[in-house]
Amino acid sequence: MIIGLGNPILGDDSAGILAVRELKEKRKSSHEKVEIKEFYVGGIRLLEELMDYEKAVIVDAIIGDRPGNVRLIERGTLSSKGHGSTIHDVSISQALDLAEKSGLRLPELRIIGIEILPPTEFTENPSPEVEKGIKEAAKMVEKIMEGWN
Amino acid sequence: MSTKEITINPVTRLEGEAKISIFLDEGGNVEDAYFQTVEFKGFERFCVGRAVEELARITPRICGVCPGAHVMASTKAIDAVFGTKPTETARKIRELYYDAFTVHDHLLHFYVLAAPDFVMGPDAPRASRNVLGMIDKVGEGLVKKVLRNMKNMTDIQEMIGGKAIHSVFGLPGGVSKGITEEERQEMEKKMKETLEFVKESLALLKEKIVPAYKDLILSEGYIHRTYYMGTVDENNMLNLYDGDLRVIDPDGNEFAKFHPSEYLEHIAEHVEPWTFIKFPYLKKVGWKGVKDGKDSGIYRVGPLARMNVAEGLSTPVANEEFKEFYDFFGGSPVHHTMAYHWTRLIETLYAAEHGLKLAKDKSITNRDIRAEIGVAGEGVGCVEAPRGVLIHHYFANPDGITEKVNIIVATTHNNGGICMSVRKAAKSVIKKGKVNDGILNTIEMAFRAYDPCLACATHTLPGTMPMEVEIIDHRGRKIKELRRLECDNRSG
Repeated sequence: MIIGLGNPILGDDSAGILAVRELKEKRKSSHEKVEIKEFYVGGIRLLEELMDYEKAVIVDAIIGDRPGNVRLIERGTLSSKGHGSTIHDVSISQALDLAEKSGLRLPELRIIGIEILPPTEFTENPSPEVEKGIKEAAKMVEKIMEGWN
Repeated sequence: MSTKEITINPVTRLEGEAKISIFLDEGGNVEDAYFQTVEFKGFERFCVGRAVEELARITPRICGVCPGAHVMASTKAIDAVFGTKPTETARKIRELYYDAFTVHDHLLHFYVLAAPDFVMGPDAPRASRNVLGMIDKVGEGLVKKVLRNMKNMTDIQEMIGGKAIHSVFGLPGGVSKGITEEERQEMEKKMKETLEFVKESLALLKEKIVPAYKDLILSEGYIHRTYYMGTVDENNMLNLYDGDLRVIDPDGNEFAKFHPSEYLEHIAEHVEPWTFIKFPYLKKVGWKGVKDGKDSGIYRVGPLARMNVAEGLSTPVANEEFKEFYDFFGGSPVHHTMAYHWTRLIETLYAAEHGLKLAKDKSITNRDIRAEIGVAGEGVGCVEAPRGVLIHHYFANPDGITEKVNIIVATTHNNGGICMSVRKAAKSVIKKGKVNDGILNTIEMAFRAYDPCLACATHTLPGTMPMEVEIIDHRGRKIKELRRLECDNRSG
């Protein structure tokens, strides 16, 4: 399962979604069994999506100061605050901890982050720097998928 | 006792951040408290010029927390824009979807947000006062059950809506896809299982939480005597999907009952310079400031309000729970803000019972799922979102192109209530300048009872809402700052 996370109408926040759309267009026949999905929230609802898969990649925008920079995020570096830092959910890190602590089977997970500046305006178009990052992230996912075969 | 006048400039705040500013007098007691947040710009501009029927797929993207509510309010507004109503079958399908959405949302709030405060205790260390900490206390089995039952509801929404989040099935006059008999049976099975779990959840609240926190629940620090607004049917029974808006006064007398399309005759919005969220109030009472009482036009919405305005619930088990709730508090209306948690579970039970009734109804698989539509114009759609009344108001030209959009979300309706609750809670727990993390959490509990969706109210980034609380002394100096920052923006 490849999940692109984001809000498709909040500018650069759509980076994860646009990366998986690139993938869908270029998908090879050897990857037909891999489900590619756009998703819009993290936390518990994301956990519900991941529950039935063996391997998964999440692509998402992350706030940083080098827009377009792409990096692989290690699970251990995800911030995990005591109380949910979100108003209505847990963070992705807490959701993963919750799954493990509850004895739920989680997929082998890789997280790819595309750095963006904080988005402030509703638009369907990413910035030029992030657009480059989107293409790079899509290639990174393809490489991971090659390793699954 | 003197206080320093402070000019609060929300423009300097980081986008997406909520902030509570607490001002102390010379004695170190709370003089006033403000709840502020900042909005993103351009949502209305984004909608104008688009085909109006697309708004059912655009507006849910304001928010990842309650997209189902926006899907439904938007679809109903588009019905009204085209002068149509859904067919009987389409209405049942929409309501079943909406029941599943409501149950999912409320279960998530109860177990992930509310219950940790009560199960772990408000003064428990922050590191354990969360759903992870709860596992140590209640066991992993309960959390697995929570996740499984939430997934049941997600599956129902996906079967009906195409996607569980930002569902794509709402069309003017109906829905895009019918339900097969196989799907109906699957939904019946899932709803039946989850109904039993909701009953267990309500029992947990009544048997473990209410007795242990009775003093907190009944304390004056969490009481506001306000007006209430919610949706009822022709018999004044709760209806989450459709009906008239009923308003009762703080004494429980009916103040108004009107079709949602008439909301502008009853509701106006006041603007304060220190926050971007407006303050809706009842026009006929007037704006008298951020205060409660019969003379103030502030009203509340959401689960507590819905129970207060209803004269009963149309499903049997939930209706018994409704009666038991009012027996506990000695009658209606109930003004205790902590009661939002109890009423949230009662209406979760109602939604599960109602959803099961629909899922058992074989006529929901009928194929008449679209009605005829007319020429586009103006339309209002209103539903009871998990947090309260949600209104979408659209203006389209005869070609069906959007010219104007107005959305009033539940958290905006509750803005006055939230501000009052934060202020009153701060005043009751901060004495002589003494503050700590437990005190912060007690103030947040007042705010959390409303299950606010600031993403909707301010169109902020879904799910990322850092919170900052600052304590300012009588000289205007910030003496303490407590922050929940570094939200990991979903991935880190």
